[in-house]
Amino acid sequence: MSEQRALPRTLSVELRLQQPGLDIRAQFRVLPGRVCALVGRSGSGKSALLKAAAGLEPARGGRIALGNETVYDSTSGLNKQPHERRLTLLDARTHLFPHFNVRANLRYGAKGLGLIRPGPKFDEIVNWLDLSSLLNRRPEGLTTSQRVRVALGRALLSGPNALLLDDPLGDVPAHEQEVLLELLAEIPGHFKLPVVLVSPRMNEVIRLADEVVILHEGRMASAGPAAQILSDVSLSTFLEGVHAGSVLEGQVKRHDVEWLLSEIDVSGQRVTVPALLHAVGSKVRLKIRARDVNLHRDPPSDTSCSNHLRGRITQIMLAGEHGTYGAVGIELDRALDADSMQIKAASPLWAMLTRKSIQSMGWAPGQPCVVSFKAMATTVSAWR
Amino acid sequence: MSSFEIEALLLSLQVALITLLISTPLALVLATLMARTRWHGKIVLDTLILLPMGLPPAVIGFGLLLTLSGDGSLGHWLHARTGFHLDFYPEGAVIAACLMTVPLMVRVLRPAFEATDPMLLPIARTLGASRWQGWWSISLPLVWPAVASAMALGLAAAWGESGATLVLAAALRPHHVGDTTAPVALVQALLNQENGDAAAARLAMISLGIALTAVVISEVGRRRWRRRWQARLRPVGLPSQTP
Repeated sequence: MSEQRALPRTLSVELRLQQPGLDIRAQFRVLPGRVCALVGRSGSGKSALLKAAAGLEPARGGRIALGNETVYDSTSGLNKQPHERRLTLLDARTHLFPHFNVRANLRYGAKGLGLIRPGPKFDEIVNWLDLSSLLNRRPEGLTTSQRVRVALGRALLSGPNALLLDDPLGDVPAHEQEVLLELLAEIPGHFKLPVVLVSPRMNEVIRLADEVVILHEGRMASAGPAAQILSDVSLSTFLEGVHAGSVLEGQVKRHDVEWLLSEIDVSGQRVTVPALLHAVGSKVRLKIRARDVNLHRDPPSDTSCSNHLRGRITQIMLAGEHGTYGAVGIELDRALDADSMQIKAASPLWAMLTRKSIQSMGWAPGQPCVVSFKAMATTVSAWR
Repeated sequence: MSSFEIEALLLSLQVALITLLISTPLALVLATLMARTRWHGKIVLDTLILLPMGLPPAVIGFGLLLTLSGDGSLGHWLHARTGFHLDFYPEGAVIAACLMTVPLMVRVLRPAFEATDPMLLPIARTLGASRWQGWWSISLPLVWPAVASAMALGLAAAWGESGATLVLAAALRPHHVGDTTAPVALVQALLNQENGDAAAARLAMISLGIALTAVVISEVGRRRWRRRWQARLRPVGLPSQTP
């Protein structure tokens, strides 16, 4: 899908909004071809931010820019219209135009308005989203996942400057989400667009996000590279239904067909997980809950845990409601092979221990240690 | 049928068509504004739009005379500025008819605008449509059966407008017979002509025919719109028909 088109530009957003009972402030930057996820409890202001960025709701102040072009600046009074910003919004209800068939919906932004815009080709999008058999159908006859695909095609064909995804799979039945997630994962690479994602499902965030911004009651609680932010044990304070844990990035090294296991290279160390369908060499993200991680001084000899990684304790902090237990942060040693991938920022691995265990083993920051966890305790997801 | 009656019918038709040309865009703008925007003082405009529906038409005619005729202050000012002079035809009859049709049309159009998905226009705008392009390509086509319904109803109302028109006719040309709209001609026929009953009956039958046609068109439009609307209310994910 290479076509001569305007160079994609970085989206910078800095916004202040006023909602009933909520004062929202956030600031983030998304490079072309990258995904920034806004996560937080419902009512933390994520959707309002997307709407204001697109120009659909008034903002209280701030600045929005695409590369060098400013589209909103409260200090100079600049406030471009939504159609001049072209930050295309897509949400769970898809909002297909009910009086158009699928073809006219797809063409709406590109040709329906009589504007000639550089954008991906119609046929490429139709084939990529597998819509060719639906072109003459009306939106009301489509299933939810078909609707999402049409809305996605319509958004991409309009030649947007950025894509704002507000829980696009929210209404799609769980068993159909995986396929759509694959399509979403291809967007940043193919179209080199800045993508902002709002999703309540952590698996989508782990799968798609390069950067994560955590919003809590309208304010940014945390922001940074996905693996680092998602490995923050305090995350569960800000999110619903998320267990404290770590997200490690790695690469599939080998499949063990006999035992139905797969090996993943994480900072040069091997992690064994139940068999994956991802090809050797593909990048994956591993999620390990902090309560499933054990700490040892030496590699244990008599254990059912198949994973033993070497590292160093970086910090110990009290966690839980009344400091009932301790969260131990461990930086994994890097044993880089010549061919192994370079990992930019090592994300910490967290182990949740009782205060008693920490005390009796005398753990302290700076000490070398061995962490162990069962293969069964890991959740692996593809990472584009 | 005498030439007097034919003239009256043609005049009525003319007044109704001119009224429709003026009141349709006006009603569309007002209905969009009332359905889709939030602002202070909206209730005032809302009341003003609907007020003519509640007032006796004769009062409206009287009000028009007071304000717009040469004696009224507004009429005087208008006359000095633009040379406007309130005559029975076409100004008086058209203004009176517009005052009766616009509230009716807004009444029909507003729920149609309100029932469409309020996010469609914003989404169209992020896809590159200006406010006007979006309204023209999305908002308006979605309610067109309701527009047709409102126009048919408006035509019937404009055709039949008689209360305010009678007052205007009585005040502006008290001793004139002929050159007037069908309902006024009907009254004049009863009052002045011999065999007036027959003429009045003919005019009444034709008016009945026009009203029936208009109301049937209006009802068909309304039903089409309701069907569309209900099709859209079906839960998503369940296809309405399998091809």
